[in-house]
Amino acid sequence: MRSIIAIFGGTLKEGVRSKLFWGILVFALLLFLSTMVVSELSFAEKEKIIADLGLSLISAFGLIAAVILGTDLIYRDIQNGTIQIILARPVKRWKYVAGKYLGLMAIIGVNLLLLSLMLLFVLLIYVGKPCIYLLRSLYTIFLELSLIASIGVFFSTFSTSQLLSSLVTLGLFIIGHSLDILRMSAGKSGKFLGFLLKSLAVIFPDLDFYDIKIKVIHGLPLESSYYSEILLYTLGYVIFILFLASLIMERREFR
Amino acid sequence: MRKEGKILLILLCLFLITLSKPGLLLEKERAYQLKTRLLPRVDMIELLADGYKEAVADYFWMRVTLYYGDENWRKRADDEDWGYLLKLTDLVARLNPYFFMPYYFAGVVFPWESNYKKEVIPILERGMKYLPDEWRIPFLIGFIYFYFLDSKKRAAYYIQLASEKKDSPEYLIKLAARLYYEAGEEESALLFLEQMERSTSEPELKKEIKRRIKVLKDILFLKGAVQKYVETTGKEPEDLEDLVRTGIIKEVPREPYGGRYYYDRKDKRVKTSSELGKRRKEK
Repeated sequence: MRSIIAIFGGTLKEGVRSKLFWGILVFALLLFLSTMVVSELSFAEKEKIIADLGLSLISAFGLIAAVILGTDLIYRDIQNGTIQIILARPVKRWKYVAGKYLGLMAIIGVNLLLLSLMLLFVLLIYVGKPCIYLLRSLYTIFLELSLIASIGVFFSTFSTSQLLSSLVTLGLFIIGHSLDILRMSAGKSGKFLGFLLKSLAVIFPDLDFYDIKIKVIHGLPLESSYYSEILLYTLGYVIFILFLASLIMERREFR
Repeated sequence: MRKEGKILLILLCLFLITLSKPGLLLEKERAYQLKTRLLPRVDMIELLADGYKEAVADYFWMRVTLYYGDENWRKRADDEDWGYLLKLTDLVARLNPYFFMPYYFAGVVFPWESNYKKEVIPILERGMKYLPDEWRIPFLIGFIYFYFLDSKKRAAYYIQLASEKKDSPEYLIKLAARLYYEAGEEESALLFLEQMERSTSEPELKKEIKRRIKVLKDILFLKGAVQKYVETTGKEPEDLEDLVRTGIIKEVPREPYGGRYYYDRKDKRVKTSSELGKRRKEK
């Protein structure tokens, strides 16, 4: 456990110091200001528009952070040889993967926290009341990002190109949000392709499950079990993907 | 990690996923229905999509076809869902007004499958403005007026517009004339057919149009005679032979389609039994 905490701490420190993290954050904050301008275009429902755009921005920039940092984390350690120093100590490889992943989630968490505070602050100024209800959507955004980050970490354990890992992770994000199209296309395709598409639709995590923005913004009811179910669903996939990443790490030799 | 541990871990993951999935699917289903009912303001989308309107139109068009292509959606779609789909179709047509398919889709799908019939007409009328050479758009409006809104006069007007377009099928001319006739608008039908007769060079069609003109002229002639009969006798004729008996006309003209002219006392109109050469289907 101590080794996981040490790797977690190192990753978090490294992440918070990175220019990329601050770059994403500053750019997101600037865009946040633009939501206020855009909301002025509407004569009504400014709260809805700011919340819509704000949550979408948080989700989009969180995704960029999760994909870029996730695919970079282990890959960079492998490239600059740091991994040999870490693994020379009595650290199990799964603990290394877990520590790295948790560190990444902490970075994404900080990113999300800062942007969320900014959104709530902007809404407080415009609407005059704290829009705490948006936290429900921020919760699912965080869970979705943790799933995407785990996919990024998985690719970074064996890929030789960070760009390729990022693109594939991004591709999987798009597929995860298009499973309905896959299912629909499966019905209209030939036997083999139909089976393939159907299988993909079963295996891939359905990222539409995380999209509750509409319901939250319009104040519509959500089943209370939803929050625990989405947590279990995310845990199931994250643990499985990290397990696969650990298996790959165990089989790799670092010279 | 030992082998058993690994297997247990995989089973745990599968358990977590399968345990949570049904509830999440249910929630997604609700959100899906909800999404099909919410659409941002059209003018807002137009403003934001400026410069990329065609691409944004294509995106929304894909959504239209995806919803409509989904048999489950069609099965469970209620009025609100169809209303949303109509708004989406309208949005596509607004973003790219030169795109024919949304107009065609609106005209062919909504009146038949939903309760949205007259709501489709403004979209199609806009289509007529942007695609002035396209005969199918006024034809669809005409059809909606005829079949769903029970307005033969308006139907005839739009079918006439369709028949005047380049490459429109010839039967539209006959159809428009018949609709005018059925709407009791013989004068309009006659004017329209005379104009068509002048602009047609195809001999067979010319012959057919002339035959219809003859019928309409006969009807108008008999209509005038009936009016005279009413003015003279103060009552309506029992049949057209009354006009001959009173000397208002020499004889009832011969109907060129092989039918006969008669006076419909209920409708107070002179009609032909051949219905301009086209008998109604047996009911």
